[in-house]
Amino acid sequence: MVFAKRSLTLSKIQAGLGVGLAAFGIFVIFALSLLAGSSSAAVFLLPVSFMSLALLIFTMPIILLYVYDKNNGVLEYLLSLGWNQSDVFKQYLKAALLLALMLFTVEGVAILIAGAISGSTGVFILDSLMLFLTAFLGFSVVSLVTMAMMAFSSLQKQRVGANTPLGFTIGALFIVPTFYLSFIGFIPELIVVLALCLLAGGLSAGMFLLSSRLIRREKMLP
Amino acid sequence: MKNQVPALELNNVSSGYNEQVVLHNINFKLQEASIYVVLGPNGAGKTTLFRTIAGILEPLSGGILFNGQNLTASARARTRINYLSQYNAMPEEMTVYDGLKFYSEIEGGDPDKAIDLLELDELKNKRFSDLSLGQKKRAAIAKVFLSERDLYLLDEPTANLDPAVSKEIRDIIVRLSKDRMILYSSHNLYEATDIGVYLILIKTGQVTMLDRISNIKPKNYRVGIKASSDITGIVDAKREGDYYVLSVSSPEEAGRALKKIVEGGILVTEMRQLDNPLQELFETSDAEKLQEGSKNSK
Repeated sequence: MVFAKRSLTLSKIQAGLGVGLAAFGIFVIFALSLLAGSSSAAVFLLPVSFMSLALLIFTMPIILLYVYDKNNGVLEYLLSLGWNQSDVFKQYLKAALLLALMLFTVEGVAILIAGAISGSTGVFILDSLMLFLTAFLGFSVVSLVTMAMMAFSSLQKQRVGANTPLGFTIGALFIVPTFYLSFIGFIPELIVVLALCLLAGGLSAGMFLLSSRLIRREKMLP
Repeated sequence: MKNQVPALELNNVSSGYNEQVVLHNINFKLQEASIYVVLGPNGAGKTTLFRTIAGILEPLSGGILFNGQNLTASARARTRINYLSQYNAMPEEMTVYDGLKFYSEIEGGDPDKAIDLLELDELKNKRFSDLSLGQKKRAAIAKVFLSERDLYLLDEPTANLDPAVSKEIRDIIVRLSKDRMILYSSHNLYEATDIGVYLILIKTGQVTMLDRISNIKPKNYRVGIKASSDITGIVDAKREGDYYVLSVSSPEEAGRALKKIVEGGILVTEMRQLDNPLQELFETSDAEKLQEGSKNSK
């Protein structure tokens, strides 16, 4: 919780952008649920994409915090207290997931309200599916990007920030395609999104499990 | 031996970064509560030595024992050590109190006690980023003294501080050093003689000397004398700025020269050793020879 709070103190702009994007996703869901009804199944991935991207942007401050803590010696001090690489990654990953959960809770409540207001069981089921997919895609991509950006942050030449382009590009590789999937049909879309979720989740889990070997301790020093 | 504390023992320790070896076969054993100044030029391996003892870097070979336990393997032994890096390692966006609380939740200890110890009461509600360099260092030292440890590793705690603040920090460390073993790194000779009881000299990744500073005797003393009139006719001295400078081989010889000057009817207003006694350690490549000299002069 402390790490999550600290990150928001450090970068309010990115957190604000995440909230804005989530609000837009919620707006799209309300528009689809109330105006298009069940016919919104054709574009059901659109709000999922927006809201997953919102979760990713909302958690970016954690990566900034990681690099910031690395540069000012906090990580070095934590290592001196007996932490290992996995302990360090776990703290920042937990903080990223906690932030994502905070925003997802708001998104989830909004989605369920939209489904309930529509009065249609079909729309409610569709909205619940969107909620489920947002959770799956959002959390798996947040985990992957957080792990990747921490792991690769030592590659950067400048000490001023995280390796945002590389880490963010990895996340974008998983989310951006979902914006363009609407033409391939409901079931194939679902399969592709679930496959992306599994791949992102699997990669992040693998990186976490291998973190002690993947990242040398000296890469965490200022 | 006075003030026994758990012994720190390094046996053939080599350490470094990636595949680059910085420390080569370091051996020493410390078992007295005291301030050990680790002295060496920039790049000698002081920080690598501290990081290795602190467990941040794993030794490439050799072993480190603290209180008889292997430091690399024993998490319990590591809890008896704390490390102040050259970076303050305090969350800059937090107040001093919140920063100390943040660490106390991880490593234990009492932020209020640390604030009292370092006299930080006036600063505790200020953001760390708003403090001066000296104030930041005091807060960072408070973090290290959050809980009682047996061994403190302080890596250049006065680097980049002005002389007055450096002195203040050193005084605090001397005050806190009672019954504790403190390894204090520096490349400043005057600081080393001011604060240190023992000297660990490190050069190109090797410990070349470990001895009491009081045992270190230079081969030559340059003594500066301010006098009421010319003394060059009485002793073999040269004028350098405000001083007549004498080169002697021992303090006793300087005393004899002073006696001659005074007996010659000249008023001596000041007499001081011009060079730091540790100066030669930096100049000579063979510190052991000097150590041998110091032992012979005992």
